[in-house]
Amino acid sequence: MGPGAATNISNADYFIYVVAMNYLTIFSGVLFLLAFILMGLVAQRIQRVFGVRTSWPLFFVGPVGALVYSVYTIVHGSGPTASGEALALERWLAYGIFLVGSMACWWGIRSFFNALRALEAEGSKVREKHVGGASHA
Amino acid sequence: MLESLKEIPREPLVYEAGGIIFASALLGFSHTMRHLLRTIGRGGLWILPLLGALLVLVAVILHGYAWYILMPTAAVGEVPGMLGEVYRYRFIALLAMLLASLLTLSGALAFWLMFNGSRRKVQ
Repeated sequence: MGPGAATNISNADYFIYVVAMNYLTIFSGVLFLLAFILMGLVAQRIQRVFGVRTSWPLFFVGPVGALVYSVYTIVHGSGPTASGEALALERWLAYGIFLVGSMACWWGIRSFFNALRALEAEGSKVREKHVGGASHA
Repeated sequence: MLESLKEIPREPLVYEAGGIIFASALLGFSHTMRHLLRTIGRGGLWILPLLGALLVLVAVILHGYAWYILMPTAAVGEVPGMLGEVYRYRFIALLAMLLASLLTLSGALAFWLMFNGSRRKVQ
């Protein structure tokens, strides 16, 4: 009897739907983390060059929530077979960290976007003052 | 009505909320990328994280469907093969999440290369 017997699905299905997918979920968590890190590096550079607050560390910390959730699916990714008080607490923790991480990502991207808008507004003011002034002269 | 609302499991709701906020963060990611691309005179790449955000939303909807519609039937065990159906939905949801992450990363990577390229040109 294989591990699929406990859940009434064939062992091949168990491997595809549970084992392989759990590892791929971790992989997708890592990919999200890398994508946000790249955007965080851009935000860090813009903060350093223009001196605007971009909250770039949130880009590095936020996606860790998605990664923790992915790891949880490996540890107890058996879906309906996972039950009981301890597992419920773990599920609360994993989902909670995912929620907090998502909020951090959202807040980071919001701060970065606001900083960009402030820079654009500043840029157009300077352009109006100097380019407009130069045309009058 | 109130009793049936009390029976709804709350943990998946936290996941659904997290997923929706994460999808909106990806929408912001796409919007910010669009602004930055416009600044460096490029365009089009912001579509990738936008598709990623939509796929995350699809994953959240499938997760909710599996938890709130399929899981109660599977737990009772009245319909044979329902557990397999839950697994298949979970599989599709995770596949959507994987595709979303691939699209977002490829967009971010291409943008990063462009951004560095334009910095070098300026220097």
